[in-house]
Amino acid sequence: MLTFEQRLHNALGSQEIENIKARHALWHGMGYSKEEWDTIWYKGGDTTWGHFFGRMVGWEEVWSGSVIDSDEDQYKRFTPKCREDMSFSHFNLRSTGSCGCHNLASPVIEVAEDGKSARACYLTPGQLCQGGEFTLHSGCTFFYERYGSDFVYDEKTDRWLYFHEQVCPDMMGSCNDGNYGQTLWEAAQQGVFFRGGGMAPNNITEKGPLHHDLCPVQLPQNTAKWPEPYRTLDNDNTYSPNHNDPSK
Amino acid sequence: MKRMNQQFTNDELVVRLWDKEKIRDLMARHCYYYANEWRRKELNDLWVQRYDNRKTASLGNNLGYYEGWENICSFYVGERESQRYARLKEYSDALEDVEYSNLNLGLGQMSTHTANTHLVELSDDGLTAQYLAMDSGQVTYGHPDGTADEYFISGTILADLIKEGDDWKIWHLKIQHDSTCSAKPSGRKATVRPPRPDSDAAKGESPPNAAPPSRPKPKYIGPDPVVEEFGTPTTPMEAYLPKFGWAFLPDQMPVPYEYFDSRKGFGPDGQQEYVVY
Repeated sequence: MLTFEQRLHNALGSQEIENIKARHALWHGMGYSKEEWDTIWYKGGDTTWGHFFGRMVGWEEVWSGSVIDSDEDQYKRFTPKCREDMSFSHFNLRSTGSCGCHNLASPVIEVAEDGKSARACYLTPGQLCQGGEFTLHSGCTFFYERYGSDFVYDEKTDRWLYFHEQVCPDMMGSCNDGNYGQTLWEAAQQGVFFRGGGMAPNNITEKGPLHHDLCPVQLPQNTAKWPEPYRTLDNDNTYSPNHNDPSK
Repeated sequence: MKRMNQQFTNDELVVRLWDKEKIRDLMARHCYYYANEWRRKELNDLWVQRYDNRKTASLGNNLGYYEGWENICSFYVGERESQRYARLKEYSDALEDVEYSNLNLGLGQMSTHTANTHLVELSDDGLTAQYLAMDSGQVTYGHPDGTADEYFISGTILADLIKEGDDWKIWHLKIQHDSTCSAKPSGRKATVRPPRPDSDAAKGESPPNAAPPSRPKPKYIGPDPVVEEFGTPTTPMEAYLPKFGWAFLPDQMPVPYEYFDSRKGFGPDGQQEYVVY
């Protein structure tokens, strides 16, 4: 039976997890990769980030794939804009033109009985829209994903920090064009199953695929199952098997 | 096990825990009131009640701020009522069985704004809070001939909340509108893309054609009806320019803070300037 203080710690932790998830999503939406990964993550050997293409293991690999690769793309995309319109150069190029956020909904959050870790599962209906000079336009993207996240509590700094993430892209298409379900069906008849959501980074330890998109001809995969109440982070309660040691 | 937030007593932590939940609840109610067009009721139920807070209350959007209680009410309730009556007139003029009466207000318009991905920080003194959320919703305008113009909308909601007695109230609210996307088909065809040259599929190492269909790029199609409803703020300014995306959002994201400072709030005093050539 947990003491009152332990339950208070866990309740506060649960609220803090919601804030961390929001910061992660917002920084990602504005292209602030360095802040997204530098400020709220646990920098250890068992820190991992997984997507459909596999899992990056260890802080350096996660940083390389999530920050360096991402920043390269962002600057390549937005530097030409400054040539067309100098006003963009007054702002951080990473966030100009960015405002598509994997918005977060339907959270299930569990804090471990031992108060040292927490786990969260979210859905995103991912209404990805693009900023621009004119706000009325035709064409935005829906991008449904599921996220499974593990967090650890750092006693020294009194902070909760991201430890593992497993991204499961489910479906991505145009909000107002095409018949996405029909497209999936036709592709499935030819044995083609989509895996959406970006390219694999240059360095990746555990190659996938770890997840496939939703499809009318297969059952949904429960790749990132929602967390149940649990005692401590271990291979039965983790989104990154065999990488549960924050002391590494 | 060290306890979070060591500077507070257990009782204070319990109050703070509950306050954060009440703030999320308050902003969720705002979404429901807004969708129901209960604007007068929303101002009475959810917004500040004390005279000094009402003097400094504000409602902001891309075009500027409505400052002070009377100006907020005049726009949020009065002007909105006029817009709704104008839409109703379109119906009552065209259809015999539609009476031009307040009982039929709402015909021709519906909107839903959801607050998601919310970030809440309470001041150390427990008297104020800052809130940021994504707004993902829809706006639909109907016409008496049975047609409708439907849009997906996207933006951010920012709010300063203040405690009055035991209740949390909205003090400064700012809507930063990013995008209005028509739900009508653009007529452009989404195509299945070939595998990328460096992908496993191109090397024959996995099933071919594993990239999802391409999405057509956004295309500008005209003046934004959502922005047109922002009216003429009493303090007009470039309060938000979607052209530059979320350039200011990194600084607007709520962080732990000691006490409220209007220069860092979401009212006009906290407005950053778009300095460009």
